[in-house]
Amino acid sequence: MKQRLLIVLLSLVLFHTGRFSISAQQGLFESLYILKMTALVRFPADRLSGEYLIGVVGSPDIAAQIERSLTGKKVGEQTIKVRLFDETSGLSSCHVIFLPDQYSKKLQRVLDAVRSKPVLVITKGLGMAREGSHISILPSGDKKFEVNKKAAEAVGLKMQDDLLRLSTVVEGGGQ
Amino acid sequence: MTNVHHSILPIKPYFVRLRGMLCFFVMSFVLHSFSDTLFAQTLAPASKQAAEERVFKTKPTRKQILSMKFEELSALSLEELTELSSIVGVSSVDELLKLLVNTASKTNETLNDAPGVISVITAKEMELFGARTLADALNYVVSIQLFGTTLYQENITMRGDLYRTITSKHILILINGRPLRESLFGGIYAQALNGFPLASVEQIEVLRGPGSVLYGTNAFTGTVNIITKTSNGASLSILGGGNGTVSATGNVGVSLPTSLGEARIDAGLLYNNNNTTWNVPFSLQPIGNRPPARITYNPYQRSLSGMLTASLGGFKAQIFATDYAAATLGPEARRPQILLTNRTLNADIGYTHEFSEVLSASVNGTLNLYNTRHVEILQSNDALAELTIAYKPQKTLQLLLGGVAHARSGIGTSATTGNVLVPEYNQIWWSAYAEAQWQPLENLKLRVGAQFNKAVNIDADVSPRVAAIWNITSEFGIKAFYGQAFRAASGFENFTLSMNARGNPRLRPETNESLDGEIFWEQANMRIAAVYYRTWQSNLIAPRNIAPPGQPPNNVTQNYLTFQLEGAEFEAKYAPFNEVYILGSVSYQTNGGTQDGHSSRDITLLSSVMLKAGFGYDNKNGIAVSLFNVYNAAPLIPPMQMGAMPTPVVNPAATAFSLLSAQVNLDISEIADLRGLPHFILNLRGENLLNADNIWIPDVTRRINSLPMFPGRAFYGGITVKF
Repeated sequence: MKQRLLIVLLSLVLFHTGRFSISAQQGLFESLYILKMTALVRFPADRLSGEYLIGVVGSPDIAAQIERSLTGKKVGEQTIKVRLFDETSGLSSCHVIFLPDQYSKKLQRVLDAVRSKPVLVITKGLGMAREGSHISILPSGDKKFEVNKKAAEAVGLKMQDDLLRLSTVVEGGGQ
Repeated sequence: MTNVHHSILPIKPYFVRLRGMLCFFVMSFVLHSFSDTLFAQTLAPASKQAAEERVFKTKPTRKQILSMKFEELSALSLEELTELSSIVGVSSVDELLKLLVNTASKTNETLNDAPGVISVITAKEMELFGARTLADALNYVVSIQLFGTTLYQENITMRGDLYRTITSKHILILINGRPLRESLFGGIYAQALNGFPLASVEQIEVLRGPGSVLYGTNAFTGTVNIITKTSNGASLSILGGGNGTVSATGNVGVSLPTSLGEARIDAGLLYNNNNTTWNVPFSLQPIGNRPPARITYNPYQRSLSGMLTASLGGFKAQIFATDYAAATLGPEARRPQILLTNRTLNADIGYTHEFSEVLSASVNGTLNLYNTRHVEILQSNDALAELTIAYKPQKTLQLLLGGVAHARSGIGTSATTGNVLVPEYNQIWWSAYAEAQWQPLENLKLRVGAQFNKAVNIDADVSPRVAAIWNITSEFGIKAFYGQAFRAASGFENFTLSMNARGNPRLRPETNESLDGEIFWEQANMRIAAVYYRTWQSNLIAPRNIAPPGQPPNNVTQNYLTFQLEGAEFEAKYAPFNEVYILGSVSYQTNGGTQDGHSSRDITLLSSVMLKAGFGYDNKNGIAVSLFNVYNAAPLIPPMQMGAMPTPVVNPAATAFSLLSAQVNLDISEIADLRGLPHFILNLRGENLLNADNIWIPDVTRRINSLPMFPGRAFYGGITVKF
């Protein structure tokens, strides 16, 4: 009986199919990073009015975490709104797009969808900025971010020194 | 796990070395503190002011950070947030599972994209499960088995590939992609397996299957790539306990802004002394009709080693140096133990220039100096120059070209008589490799490559590989590989004058042909992979009696054996919650060989089934506990090795065993909420918890039936300080 109970418990732990809910701290810091980055990246004048839209691609869990943290906050005079995008259509209306790491394969589609538009693309993981994202949050290491300054400038986004100082500056992504 | 005999080790030099270690850590700490000051001075004035106005005058604890409200956190600067996030450890799941690897293609890529069967052990895992040595860490990896021989106590093998070898000559160890290779035996790694400073290691990538296309000889059944840390900080650990163990390890990393860009220096040191309380009743190889001699064997080991890396702009340099001493019974276990010493220096200097976004070139010079002494004095000096060009003309196309010149030299003499055992040799090998990767679809990659090799006296040889990686969805994919690898004959096999087997300068490289298929499934908190492989090894080198029947033996090394392996591997890593981490693997292999038309099955003497499982709990508030078990099924031992005499059964039988270890890490600074202090972490450890007795494994030379590999149950205690 004990053995069966153990097997059932182990099965529940090992094979439960419930979606992984990211840790509260992880979502909190991702929200904070995004919030801080909005202040360290200057947008063109025509994007400094209206609502400040942050798009999260793919993950409802992460979108919900970021929405809870940031909805109602302000960037300058603009009020932040967070929206989940399952597909890439409509992304060009965003100020910021956050692409969680499990959806990193969609980066090229995201970049194609916002090509030459002043939309800040934030990803997670080493090497993503070389693929064309503007800022990538790194899991570990001396530098916490990887930024593609050239790609950002190509779409009219100017990164401030306080961001560059904390980051490894890379190029790539065919900007 | 092993011991050192007091009377054999000269005491004074070790006091001198301990004093040197102390100086190293003091200087490291001063340098670390000084670099912080330097860094602060280089901040822009506005940032300096911000730094002075920080909310936290001292380093906060995790509890303090988690008690803060969103509004308080959002008032901090991005720099301050990055500091806090590293204290909170919010990326722990990412650090364990979202890894980039470099070994399979010499470019950074995800595990799912890598053109190879790869497993990774991270620094976090080593800390959680309490690995003390590189051998401990590698024992967490699927299909890897540790084995000892009467000559070298620590060796590794993969996928059951262990046939007539006393070293790890079918494995290549790399440090940051650069080879750790000696040409006299081609696989002496005991000094690294016992002595590599784990405090310097960021992750260990293990590529299973052929790796010769990119890494040349010895990357035969597997390649181990040790990636060292490049992050600011310092740590120091001291551990003592069972089997007379005293060990100390530490690392320090600093970055310094210069006019040429950021300069980085990272250093690590390890002193590992397993002193002698592990006394094993042991029977030597019987000689003639005499009964086997009985001795007390103290299989001690002692390592002092350092790892240093430095970089500036495109330049990188690294040095790994070891001073290793161990007990050895010699290759044949005929005489009581004596001292074996091994001093090595492995150095590399490289420069990478990026001509454009799509074109870069690297040049590297690598030096491997080995000096081993027991009853023989064995020296090898190998130098390697390599040019690598990476070209990415399109997003979907990558090309990698390389050329290598490898100069190897060595000599072996008797320590007692001065007789030459291996005459001095000096050889130059040439090789060139090319690989192309094409991505016809967004989720499909194809990779084709080959290495061309030319050594003196033998025909040119080509090792190709083909790989297909299909990420069917963002979570699920398959990989398929066909590849060949080679192992060039060692200096000993080419030139030895030993009566047991004379060398043969015309030996062809051993070849390994392998087919691999992998299915993987990855989610945010989980990765599982299943692999099937089939390999065919041929031209294997071994001594062979070529004397006509009735004449005295005339053994010469020749290429004449073949060997086949087939197996399956399953591995999983899973973090059901942020605090819980589980990893495990199962591997099964079966094998057979052919010699002179005679075939046998299960000839490797290794376990057919291995099961490895670890469970870790880290409450993120300073308490981490873990269990790890390595189970090896009983080896399938044929009654007689092909063409050899029956093995004398003189020692305890090699049976199935479980190596269960437990680790407890208590971060006193976190638990007591001591703010502004370094992290003081109490480490408690138990090893081989299920067995009170020594664990014996088969002697691969079959001169005796078994050898002691792991000592009985042992407990350890220590402290780690992280600055």
